[in-house]
Amino acid sequence: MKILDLIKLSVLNLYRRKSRTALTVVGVVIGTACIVIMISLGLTNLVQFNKMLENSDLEKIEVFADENNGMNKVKLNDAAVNAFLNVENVEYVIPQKRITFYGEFREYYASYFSAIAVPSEYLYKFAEVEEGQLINPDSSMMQIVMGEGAFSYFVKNDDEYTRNYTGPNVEFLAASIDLYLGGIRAIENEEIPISKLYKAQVTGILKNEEEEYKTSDVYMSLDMAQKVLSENYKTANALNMDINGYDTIYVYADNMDNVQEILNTIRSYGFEAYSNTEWITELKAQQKAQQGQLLAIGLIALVVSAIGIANTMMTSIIERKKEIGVMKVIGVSILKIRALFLIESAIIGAVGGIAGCMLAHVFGYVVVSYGDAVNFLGMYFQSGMKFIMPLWLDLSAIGIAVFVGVTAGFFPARSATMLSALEAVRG
Amino acid sequence: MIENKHEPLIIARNVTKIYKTDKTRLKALANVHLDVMQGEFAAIVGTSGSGKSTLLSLLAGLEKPSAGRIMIGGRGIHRLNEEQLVDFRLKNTGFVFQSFNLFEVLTAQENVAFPLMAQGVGKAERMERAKLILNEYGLGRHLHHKPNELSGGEQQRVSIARAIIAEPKIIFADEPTGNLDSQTADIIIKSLADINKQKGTTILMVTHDMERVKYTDRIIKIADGMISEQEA
Repeated sequence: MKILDLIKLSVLNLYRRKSRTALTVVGVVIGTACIVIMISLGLTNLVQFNKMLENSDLEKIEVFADENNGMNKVKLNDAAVNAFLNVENVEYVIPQKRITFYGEFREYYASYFSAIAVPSEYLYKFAEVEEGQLINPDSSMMQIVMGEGAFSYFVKNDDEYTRNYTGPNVEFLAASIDLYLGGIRAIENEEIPISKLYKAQVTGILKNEEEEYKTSDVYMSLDMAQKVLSENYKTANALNMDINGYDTIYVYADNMDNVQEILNTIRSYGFEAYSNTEWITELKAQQKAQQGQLLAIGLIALVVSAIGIANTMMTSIIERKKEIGVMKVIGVSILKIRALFLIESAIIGAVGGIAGCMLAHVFGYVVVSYGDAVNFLGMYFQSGMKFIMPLWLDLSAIGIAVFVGVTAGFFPARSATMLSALEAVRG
Repeated sequence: MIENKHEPLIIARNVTKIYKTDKTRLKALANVHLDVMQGEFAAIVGTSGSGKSTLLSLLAGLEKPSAGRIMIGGRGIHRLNEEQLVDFRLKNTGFVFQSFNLFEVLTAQENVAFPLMAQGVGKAERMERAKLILNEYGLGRHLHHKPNELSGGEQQRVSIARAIIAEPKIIFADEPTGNLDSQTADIIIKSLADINKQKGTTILMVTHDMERVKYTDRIIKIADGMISEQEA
């Protein structure tokens, strides 16, 4: 018997029992749709999660001075930097401090112009330029890089400080800005000595991380910041600026796995330390559990539809005992009879699988919620529930449906060929 | 296979069949010796439970004897495995059943063509051959009818057409007239006799229809699992 003849016979047999076949197929449709939707949800969640991971420096530990720990006051200074460098598995340590100026640029002024000072060799870790270049570490001049958002610090009068103000319409790149330590307070308060004038050269404009949000960060080299503070220590002292201290120290582990240990050591010194890794480990476990739940729901649906197929095939075999007997008597081989039943259940699986995928796509199209944050089964979708349904998901879902069909049909098909031919014929 | 009318086509020697259940052993056949000649039309008759159907299913290779030998055309079918038996039946035998046993989903023409389909014959050829035979049997109008649209006699003729389409050496018939009225039964037996005469096909028929055994060459009576009497 040829395979095409077998398939035709299978289709005829399924067609003869239209309503039962249809009901069984509906079971598979629901099972497949369930699996596709669940896996798709999981995928969406996973993609969002991975995107978040990409944006988090997992080896990075942020260290602050613990302000609540009054008993054992620790300071973020060079001694602390050296102590951290000696902790096992620490790759490098980057101290950072914030320094505030009063700025003048052409007819504009900035009451408070605040820069982040980091060692120039590590500046690339924090800043990426869109135009121009990063600071030249060898320059004796003061150099800065700034984001477009920082343009709006400069106004002609204070009234211009409003929400929608984007700064003067002048070219900042390569411009020279006059800076005095301490901000407007140091200029206006006569008791505070006015600092030296520094002409800061803008070497680069920062890249915005998101299109909507223009960064207002300003960076300069830590050496230059220290130089300014020590050259104007009277002003700095009057403003309570910590000349030798840092605001934050970033400690980088050689490997994400060592982060927790380093965190513990630093905390034991009395500092406050924080790393993304801590909550990400927790999130990862949560993520895994959610994926497991989704898969479980889908699998339950699939198992139920498999039982449906097996039940249909079993009933069909009992009904067709005679027919099977006749085929055996005529001389259709056992393998062919088995194949006939397996093809029938595979067809149920395939048709159900294809229709199930289509249903899942329709569902994904209708239910998608753009923009709004959605909570579903403990999963949080930041920017709405979108269903990622790649082709491989459809193909494997159909493959699984066919596999379930064949598996569910296997034992019924086997029992079909075990029947004694003559007994079966007599009924 | 030996094509000689005076040579036995089927030889059964010391054939015994015992059915075992958990508690009982039932001896359905005991030491049966039987020769069926090439081209012979033989009837096996006996009361219900006499063992006549058991004998038919053993000779057709549907069941294996508990002891003894069955040779068909010189081949020991008691030694064949299931797959070999299926192949043997496909190539050498045709069956006619009491309750016709046509495939409900297939048309008359497709039913007749079924053994050829099982042999892997292409669709065009097998459908043409089926059409020819059905025309011969006066069923040309019913080519595309499903079995449930045919009368009992028509269904049995379709079933005979199915049995002969692959030109088997032997036709086994199990109570072929059991479900038919006497007029139709006559027609069926006559057509079997015609096949036997015209094609030389050996026919072995189980029946309890004593009225129609007159068309056969020989009557084999069986009682209590043994051949009690044979008359030509």
